Amino acid sequence: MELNVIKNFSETQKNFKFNLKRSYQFSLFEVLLLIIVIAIFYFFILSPKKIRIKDIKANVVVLQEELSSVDSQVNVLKALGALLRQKEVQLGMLDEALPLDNRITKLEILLSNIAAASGVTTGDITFSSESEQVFAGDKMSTENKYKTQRVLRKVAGNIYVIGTFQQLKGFLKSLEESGRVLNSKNIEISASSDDKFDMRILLEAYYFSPTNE
Amino acid sequence: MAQINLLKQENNSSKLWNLPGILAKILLLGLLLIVGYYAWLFISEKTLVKKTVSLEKQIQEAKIAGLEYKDRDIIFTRQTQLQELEKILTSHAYFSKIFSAISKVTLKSAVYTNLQANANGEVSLSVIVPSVSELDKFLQVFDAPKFNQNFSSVRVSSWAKVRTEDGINYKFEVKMQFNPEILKF
Repeated sequence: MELNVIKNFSETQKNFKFNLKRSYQFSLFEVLLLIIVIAIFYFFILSPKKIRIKDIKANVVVLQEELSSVDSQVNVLKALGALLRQKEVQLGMLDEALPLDNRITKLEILLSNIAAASGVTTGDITFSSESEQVFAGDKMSTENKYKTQRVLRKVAGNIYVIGTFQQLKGFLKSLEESGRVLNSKNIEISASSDDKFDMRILLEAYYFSPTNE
Repeated sequence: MAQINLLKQENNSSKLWNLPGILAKILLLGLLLIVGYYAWLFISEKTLVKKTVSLEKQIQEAKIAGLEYKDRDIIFTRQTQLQELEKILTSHAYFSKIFSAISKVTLKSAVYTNLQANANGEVSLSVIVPSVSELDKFLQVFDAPKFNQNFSSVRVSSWAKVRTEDGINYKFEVKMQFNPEILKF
């Protein structure tokens, strides 16, 4: 009889342990708690993280576009540099049309040559320039010719020539079509002696000079 | 002797329908998935931040490469030089064209002794004609629509008789407006 009691007791113990494992059940309260934990985690931890990542992704896209733009600009710069080296003649023409200096003597020589080619007689060529303007030996312009910022400036002048009407017309045409841009602002033609006429032209010439001038 | 089972008997029917248990298991699984997703987001964020830093560095390097490019200053100077040239060329006037324009509105009997024109579209002429009727004809030309497109607002001042090689003539001063488009290329 004692043996039967002990045997039954140990069997009962096993059953008790087995039933303990199988009998734990979640209550509604625990389910609610889980739902709250999930909601809190989602709204306060996960969602802000998602938003932050979305912002970072958008920033990455912007940066990629910016990098692409900067790269293409650098490539354009390099292509322009290569093109410049091939266009020496055109650059010479550009410098002739709009010089980077205001050497008045070059302008007067040009006008004298045009007058001589047209057959007119030069009466007078005068150009005004600012006093104390440096025409030569400017170290900054020589050493940093392209580094300085530049602005368009003009110099006004008068030219007085004498010739026949056809000569004057030819001279005027040559001025208009010269390599250097010369804009006539006012012309006056008056009868002189015999078949000759006098022509006075108010002229503007331009140059692209450093801003510190 | 019958054994007395002192343990509480299980209700077999509750095993079949344990709703809170099922829900809890589903929710636990969901929580695990969410935590896993968060871990993945955390790793993604680190990767993206690294990428951002790398891109910013590349952009800085590219900008420096552009600024230090040896021909940069020449290119910008030439570019602005060309732009300024284009601007002054738009106002470039071909005064030589005014002669042919004036000759089209001039009587054969009229002689010009003085011509003055400016870029504002004003022209002054000193004209000699044989008679007052020729002066009238000279002025009538500018009434025709064909000619007053280019020359208009003709004003005459101070006419007087003058003696020339051909005899007595009339000299007068004329001022008029001309279309500045005549002087364009």
